[in-house]
Amino acid sequence: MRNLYTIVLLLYLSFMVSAQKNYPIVSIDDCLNLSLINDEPMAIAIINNGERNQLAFYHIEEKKCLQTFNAPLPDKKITQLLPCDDGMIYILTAKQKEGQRRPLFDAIYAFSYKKDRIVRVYEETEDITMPSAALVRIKMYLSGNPFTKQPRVFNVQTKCFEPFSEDANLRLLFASDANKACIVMRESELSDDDTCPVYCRNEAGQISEQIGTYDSRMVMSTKKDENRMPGLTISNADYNWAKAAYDQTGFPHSGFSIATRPGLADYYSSLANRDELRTLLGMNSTYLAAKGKGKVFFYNVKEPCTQKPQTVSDEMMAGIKEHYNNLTSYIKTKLQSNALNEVFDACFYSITEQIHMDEYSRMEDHFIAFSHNGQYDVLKTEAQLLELIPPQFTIANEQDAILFQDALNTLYPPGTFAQKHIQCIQQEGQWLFVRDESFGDKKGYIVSLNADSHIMNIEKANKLPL
Amino acid sequence: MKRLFLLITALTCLALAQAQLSEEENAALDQLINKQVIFEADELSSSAIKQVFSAQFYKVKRMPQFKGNGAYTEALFVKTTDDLVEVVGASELMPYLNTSFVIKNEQDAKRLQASLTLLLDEGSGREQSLLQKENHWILIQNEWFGEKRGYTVALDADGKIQTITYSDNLTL
Repeated sequence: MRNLYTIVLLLYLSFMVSAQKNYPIVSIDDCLNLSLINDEPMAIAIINNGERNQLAFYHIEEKKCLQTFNAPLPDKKITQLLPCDDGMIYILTAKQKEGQRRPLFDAIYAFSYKKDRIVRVYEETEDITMPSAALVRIKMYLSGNPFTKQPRVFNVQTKCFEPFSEDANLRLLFASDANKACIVMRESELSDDDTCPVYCRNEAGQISEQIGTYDSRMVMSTKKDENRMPGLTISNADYNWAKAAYDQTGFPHSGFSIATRPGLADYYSSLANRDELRTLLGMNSTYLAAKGKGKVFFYNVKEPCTQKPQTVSDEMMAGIKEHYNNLTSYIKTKLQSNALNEVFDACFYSITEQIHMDEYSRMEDHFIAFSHNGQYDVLKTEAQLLELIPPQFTIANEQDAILFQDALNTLYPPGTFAQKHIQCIQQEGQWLFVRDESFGDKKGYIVSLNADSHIMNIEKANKLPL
Repeated sequence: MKRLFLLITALTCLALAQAQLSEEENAALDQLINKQVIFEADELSSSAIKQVFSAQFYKVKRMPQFKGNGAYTEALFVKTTDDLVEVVGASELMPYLNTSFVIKNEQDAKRLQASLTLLLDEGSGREQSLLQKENHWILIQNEWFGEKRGYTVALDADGKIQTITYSDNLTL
């Protein structure tokens, strides 16, 4: 099931454009869990020192542990660390019961860093599925599915539970400590199309007018326009903060749950090493923390780190490059044909990269490079070809189109089975160059022309409009 | 007739493609290729790796930009005093085991499993488990259609590792 979620997430992310890579600014080893502290470049973390797990304050910018603590941690699995305004860190634990697949809520502990002491403040005696918790000042909201139940509210000062609301219809979408508010909705207002108006409830319990809509519909499609993920739309500009706050709640997130928070998914898709990551542990207005490959990585989401910080010595990197240079060879061939010379103002090279894995096996990759006005580059997209066509070249008739097709044949020689599909077809203002066929769909290029028959655009199409 | 013409054209194109490159073109293309291959390297260090192994490990990502499709390969390197060696598979890690590391109990076996997971990317955590069988530890990394994948670690009488073998179908 998790693999399915991963595929769904990758499909979703493949439709998203990641403008720039965001590299981690620092990573820490042996970190099991952590929570970012609001408005501080700090995290409270559980670190394994080789012998046992212990709590520690980690400074993200200074890239070091500021303080480690000796207080023995609870035996049960720690699911969340919640820094609180009262100066304590609250720790939630989960227990596993035979026959129960999901972890159950175990207890709440309070950690005083001043005293280096952990005290259990609540123990759950019933079998309750592990909730997701959020703190707003001294109130801890423990919630599961927002549509089915009200959250339980644990007051960390009185150490007692208190009612969420007298309105039995009121549901918690999320609570934001940074904004000291809850975003709520009413079960009775959930419409047939799975959308629901949302409101803001302040600390005094006052509920605002409608601030937006929560849409729980989800559609996964191979067609970009049909994709839809659950999400929050804010219609009252005074509450625009709620959208960012929503992305900063509900941690940890992994797989599918990342995709349900589009803002968070945007950040996730920009992370340079996202393939290594398994879980997003937390995010505030400046930092994002994620876990994977035995490490916790910190990213600056406000000022992304677009260059990978040097993590190994120059000597080490030179050694790595030399190792690969010794394994790799390139077969370079100049592509030549009369058509190529007439259609393009450039020299093209077919290059095959061979990496010799061992005595018997090798990996091969193939690409095209070109030189134009003395500059060499790799041909990655068809759009680059546009810049290589001299101004005098036009496709004014079928002969010109066949010349262009011959040039394509030199650049991208058709395979044995594709040869029978090669053809060019004129349509209004454009020529279609068929290069292959798959399940009845003709694949190739759409070449758009202006009134003077000059090429204005070259576009690759998996289904030519024929 | 048109198809035959196309076939001849395509074959001619391929034949024409066998042109020699000038020294200048060769050098310029080498320079271009060099710029298009990006490497990233990170040291792999965790308390488990430091306890089990006595060498420095690096995960190297090779990212050719030739097609702009984000494809990359990863490899594990180990740094010895005078060499940099690529490691493929658990058995090749044997020379780098810490001479004082022995498996006396489940915690030691878990340390080895955590190290192998980090170094060789096997296993995804949730399905991981381990069991002892006489002088062997079986480290189950993951499951695939009912078959358990992972390592069999053979020990001598002192708990010292003799062999580490990977299998796609562990015998339990």
